[in-house]
Amino acid sequence: MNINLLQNDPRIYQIAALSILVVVATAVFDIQIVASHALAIITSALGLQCLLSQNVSEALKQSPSALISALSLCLLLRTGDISIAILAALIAIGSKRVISRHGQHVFNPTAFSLVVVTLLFDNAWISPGQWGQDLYLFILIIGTGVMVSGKATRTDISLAFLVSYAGICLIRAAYLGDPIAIPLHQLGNGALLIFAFFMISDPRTTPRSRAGRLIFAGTVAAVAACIGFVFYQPNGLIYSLVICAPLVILLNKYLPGSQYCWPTFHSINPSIQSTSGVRHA
Amino acid sequence: MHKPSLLLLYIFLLFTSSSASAFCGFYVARADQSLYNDASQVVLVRDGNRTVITMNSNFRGDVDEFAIVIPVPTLLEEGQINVAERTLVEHLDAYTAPRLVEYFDEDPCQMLYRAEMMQDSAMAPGPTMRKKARAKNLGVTIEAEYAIGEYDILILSATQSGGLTTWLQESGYKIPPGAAPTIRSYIKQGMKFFVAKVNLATQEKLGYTYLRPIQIAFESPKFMLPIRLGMVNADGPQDMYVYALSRNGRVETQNYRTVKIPTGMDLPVKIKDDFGNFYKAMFDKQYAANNRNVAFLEYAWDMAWCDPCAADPLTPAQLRQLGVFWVGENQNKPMPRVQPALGRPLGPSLGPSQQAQPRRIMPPQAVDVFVTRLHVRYDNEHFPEDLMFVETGDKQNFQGRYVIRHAWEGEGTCPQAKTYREKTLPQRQSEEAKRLANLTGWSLEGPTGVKPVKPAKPPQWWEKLWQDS
Repeated sequence: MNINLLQNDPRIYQIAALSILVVVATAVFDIQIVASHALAIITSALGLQCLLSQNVSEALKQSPSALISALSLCLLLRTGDISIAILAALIAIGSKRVISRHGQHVFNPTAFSLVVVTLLFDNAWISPGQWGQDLYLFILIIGTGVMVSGKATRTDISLAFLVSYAGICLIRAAYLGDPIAIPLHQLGNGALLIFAFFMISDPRTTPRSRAGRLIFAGTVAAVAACIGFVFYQPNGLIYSLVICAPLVILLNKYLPGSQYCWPTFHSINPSIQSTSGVRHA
Repeated sequence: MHKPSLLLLYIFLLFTSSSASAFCGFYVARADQSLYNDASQVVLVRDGNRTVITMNSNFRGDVDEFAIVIPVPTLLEEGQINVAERTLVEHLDAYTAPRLVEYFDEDPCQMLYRAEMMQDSAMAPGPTMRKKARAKNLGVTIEAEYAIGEYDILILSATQSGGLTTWLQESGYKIPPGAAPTIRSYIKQGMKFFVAKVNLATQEKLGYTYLRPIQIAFESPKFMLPIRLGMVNADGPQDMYVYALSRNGRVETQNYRTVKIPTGMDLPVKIKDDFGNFYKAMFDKQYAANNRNVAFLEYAWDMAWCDPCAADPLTPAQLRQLGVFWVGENQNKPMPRVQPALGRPLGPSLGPSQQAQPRRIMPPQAVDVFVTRLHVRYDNEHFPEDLMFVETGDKQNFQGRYVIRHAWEGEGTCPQAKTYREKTLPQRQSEEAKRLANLTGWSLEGPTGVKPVKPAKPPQWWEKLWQDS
């Protein structure tokens, strides 16, 4: 693969960061990621991606995205059944093809898959508490690193989401008269940062315009807070991202912007096409 | 004249309904004396939104000085409140307790036998019209009054924390300083308050000299335990055991990490007589090593069986009494013992006490109940938020289990026996001692007299020179 492509593709930074997180979470923080499940998820995701690709070039282009979805599933999905792990990977990749509009998939593949398998199977769950406060700083460093390095990722949406969610927690605490330690504890969860840096920032499933992204980030934060604080259900962040996904279609309609495409050899070769970032109109 | 006082010790639970209410509890003393609970025990039965909570106090003062205030999600009818037998909670505690297992080394020259011994290591184990009118003036409504068992119970709702604290104070309770803001937070979340006191006359009539656990049943989406009020005037970290009985799998904390307690390691035989202290020391060290802000998993198992058993599994009848509503009434027969344990001595003999221990109980029938034992040591600094739980689909069994292996003391002379005596055994004992020191932080000459066992010196050539002659 062209070295320039590697350097310009923000997904490479995401893959590196997620791989580090998988290793550190398992080795240092005792977050149980079953090796056989991880392997099954990665091979199933990549395998289905290749099957769905029309040619080698497309397969190569889409593989990093499939790998990101697979690594995110490794980090977040817990199950005692390897067939559920494989199914989750297939749902994530399959959903991109099956649920799409104007050639762009509607749902964040990882979030959609997590919601489907946790609703369908008792033996699949998410452990938001396991990221605790200990991994907070580590994920913050990794996530910030990815944002800085991967110039094309949607930094604005990550920050807008974190600010909105923090605002809601702080306002709620002020209303209830709770000490500041409570919202700080709610915000200090590693799972929140993983969501902000590695899920909601997926350029392909976020609005195209900056205004749209800011509105979307605020809405996802509000719906997530509502799920947690009003309906008392766990995993509000991931559910919220899936619930709010159709909003992206509306935002793109009324606040249009250029569609995001992952860099290709052509897009980064000035002799063939001007590089306006990595976005195509 | 005794001025009645209220001492908040800790909070049990917060379960809110869709109307955003909550649930917490604290003990109330009726004298200005410091009462302290080392550990509380809460049995948490949960399936869907249906919840049954059993609270066992370790209250150490006079029972006439006891009262408990628990915010509840909804108004509770009389049938939703019950008083249970303490033995139920004690049995569940024993069944889930970390255990010590004992093995005997085989004769290196012959056959092996083994034995197991379990030891319970549980450390803690633990109105009138005028009144109503005054309450109303303060924004407090006495929603209901019940006499259940030896307890007199009030269900209160309040619109402001000031009114509730004033009413409680005027009614003979002293709210600990600093509790009002937390009460206000819970009131804003829409909760009602459950206040229970002991009716001494009834208690005497019933013949109890201790406090029996109070149970409440309700339906609420919120799966949590409020611990905030109890930390208001706590003078240090408090211990709580949560025994969750669920249908689908292990329960873990949602907003704090759940960490498995170290388990399954071989330790020096000397801890046999000091198992409780060993476990306490190990827990202390784990608690500090995990930044004092995690819940520890001590047991997670299908309720139908155990291996090895620290106590028999609870019967379906006992489970129903604890509130496991999905266990059928036709299952009230005692859990049958199916087979003796693996590991029953094959060889000659164990002491009688060891033989009397239950070994292993295999699943006779599915009871569809999974038990999780969590040990939480919490304080204000490290647990600012109430404990929120989530039921996972994890049915993997886990237990705190520690092994001691008695050395073989026979006089075999085969080469294997020689290797065993001179090499294998000393090396193993040395490793066990180091492991114990690492786990507990004890020095190798610490409280149990743990000393590193140095490998024996190789025998001198002359040692047996004239022995056989």
